[in-house]
Amino acid sequence: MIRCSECSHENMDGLEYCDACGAKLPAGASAEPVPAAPAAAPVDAPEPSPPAEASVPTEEPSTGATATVATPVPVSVPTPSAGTVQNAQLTILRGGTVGKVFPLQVGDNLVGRWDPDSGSFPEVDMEHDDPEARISRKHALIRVSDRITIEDIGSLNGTFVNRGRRLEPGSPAEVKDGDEIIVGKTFFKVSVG
Amino acid sequence: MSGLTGFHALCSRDAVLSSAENFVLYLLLEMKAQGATAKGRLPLNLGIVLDRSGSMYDEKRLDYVSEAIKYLVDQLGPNDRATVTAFADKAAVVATADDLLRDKSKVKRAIDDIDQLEIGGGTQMALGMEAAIAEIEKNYSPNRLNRLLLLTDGQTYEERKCLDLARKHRERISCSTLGVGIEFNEKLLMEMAEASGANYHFINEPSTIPGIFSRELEGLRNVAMTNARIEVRLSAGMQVKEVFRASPQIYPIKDAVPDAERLLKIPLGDVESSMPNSALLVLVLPPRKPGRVRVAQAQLCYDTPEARDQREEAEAVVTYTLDREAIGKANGYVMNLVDQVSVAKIQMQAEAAAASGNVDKATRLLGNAIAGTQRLGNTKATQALVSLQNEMKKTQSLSTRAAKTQLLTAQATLRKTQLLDPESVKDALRE
Repeated sequence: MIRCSECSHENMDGLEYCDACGAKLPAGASAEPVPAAPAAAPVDAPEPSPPAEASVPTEEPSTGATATVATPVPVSVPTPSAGTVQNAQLTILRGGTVGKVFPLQVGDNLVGRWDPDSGSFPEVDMEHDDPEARISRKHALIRVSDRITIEDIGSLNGTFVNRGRRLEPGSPAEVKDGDEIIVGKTFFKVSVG
Repeated sequence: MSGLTGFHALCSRDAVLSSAENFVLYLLLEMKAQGATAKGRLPLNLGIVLDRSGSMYDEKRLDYVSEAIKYLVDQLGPNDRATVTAFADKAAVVATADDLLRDKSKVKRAIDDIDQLEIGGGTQMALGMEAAIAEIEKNYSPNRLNRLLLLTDGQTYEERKCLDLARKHRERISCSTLGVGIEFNEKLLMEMAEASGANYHFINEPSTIPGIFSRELEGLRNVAMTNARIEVRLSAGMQVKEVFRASPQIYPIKDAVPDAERLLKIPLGDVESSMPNSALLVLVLPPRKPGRVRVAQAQLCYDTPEARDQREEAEAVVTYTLDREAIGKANGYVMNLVDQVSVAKIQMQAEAAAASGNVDKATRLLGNAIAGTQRLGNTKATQALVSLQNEMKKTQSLSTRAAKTQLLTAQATLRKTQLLDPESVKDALRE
C-alpha cells in the first residue's frame, strides 16, 4: 500500500494519484518482493477449506488462488491437487438474468457487488443482476478446493443453502453439485463438471 | 504494430514485482485510423435537432443557431442526407431529406420561420430526439455516417429518457451535442455524446456557433470508421478498477464492466482519421509467481465503407519478477496519458464535491488538479483551473454565472487530450 502524504488515504501499489484527494503519490511500490520460500506466496497453495479462523471476514477478497486457474500464457502455476473440484459454476435460477453463469475459480470467489470505492471486486459480480441491491458489496465467500464451501461474510440479507437456516457469518457450509443457494433475493444452482 | 490502424496495447510497466499484494497496472489500448478511405469520405445522414424553447430567444441564441444550420445545409453534397427537427413541448419535422434534395432555399426559408411553429415553449428533448431518429432511420445505411446533432440551451424534463435513447441507438446512430448558453445540463449532454463516442461542444458565446458547426462538419468529413469498439478479454484473476477514454477526448466510461466471461466492451463510436484514439484501463493485478503472463487480449472492431466488422488484435503481457532492478521505469507515453486522465478525474471529483456543498474539499481537489496540470506543462488548463478555483473561493459555490463559465471552460480544456510530439511517441513505441 502507498499512504498518501496529504490525506493519509491508503492506496493500492502502482497507483499514480491518490484515490481520495488526487495528490500525486510517491513513485514505486512499497511492497516487498515475495521471498522465494513458497509459504509466503499466496499464489502457491489455495488455503485448505476454512477452519474456525475464517470467522473474521477479510477486508479484501483474498486473491489467494485465482492465479492457479489456467491462463492463456502459462507461467509456473502449481497444478491443482488431484482431489480439487474442477469446473464448478453458479447459474442464476431466479432474481436476476436467469441462466447467467458464473464460473467458480479454484480458491476464493467473492459474491457481491462491484464497488471500487470500498475495494469490492467480486468474482461473482451481481452489480447488473440485483437492481434492488439485496446483495451486499461483500456478501459471501465461495471457496473451491477439494470441496466447495460457502460462507456468509456479514451480509445484510443473508445467505441460504437448500432453503435451510440462514448461514451464520464465519460458519461455512458445504455445497455440492445440484444444490441451491440463495443470496439476498437471487437463487443460484451449483453445478460441477 | 499491425493492421490498418496499428492497434496496439501498452502497459505502464513491462515488468512488475511479484509481491504478496494486489497492485495497479495501467493498460493503454491505442489505434489511429488511416486517412481518407478508398471511396473517399462517408456520405452523411444527419438528423439536426433544434431546441426552440422560450429561452432560445435570449441572447438571440435561436438566430445564431438558425444561421449555423443554414450554413450546414449549404455545405451538404449531393450524396448527403439531412433532416431538421425542432422541439419545444412538441416536436415538428421542419425539413425532410427529400425537401433538402429538392430545394435548399426552401429549407432555409423554413428554418427562418422556425419561430412560427406552433409547438409551445417547453423543453421536451426526448420527443425531438425520437422524431429525428425516425427521420434518420428512413435513410439509414451502414455506408453512411448516421448522426444526430442536438442543439439545446436547456434542462429537459426527461434526462434519463434522452440518455437511454442515445445509448439504445449508438451502434447505428451517433449523437453529437451542442450546449448553448450556460444554463444547460452539461453532464447530460456530455454523457449523451460519450455514449456513442461523438462530440460535445459548449457554446457560451452565441457568436461562436457557426465556427463550432464548421468544426463539427469537418470532423464528420474526416470520419474513417464507424461503430468502433474495443473488446477486452481479461485473463483470470485480473480485475478492472476504472476505464477511461484517453484520446482524442478524456472521459470516464462507466458502463464498461466485465461480464461473467471477463469480457469488457469499450465503445469508441465514429473515429476520425489521423487522430490517435485510445482507452485507458486501470487494472488490478493479483500476486503471482515470477514469469510472463498475459494480462488481457484486446480486439478492435469497426465498420468502414469497404467492409463491416473489421477486426484487429493486440495483447498485453507483463513479466512478474522478484528483481526490483529489472522493473525499471514506467512507460513515459502511457504515464503521460495516466497523468492527463487523472487530472481530469480530480477535476470531476472537485465538481461533485462543490455540487454537494463541500466547497473546502472542492478547492483542495482543484489545488491538486492544478499541481497536475503544472507538472504536465499544460498552461491553458492551469489557467482555466486557477480561474475556477479563485471564483469558487470568492463565491463559495458554483452557481454563479461566472463560476459556471469557468467550470465549462476548465472542463472543455481538460477533456481535450494533449498529444505528445511524434518523436517522443516513436520512442515509447520502440520495441
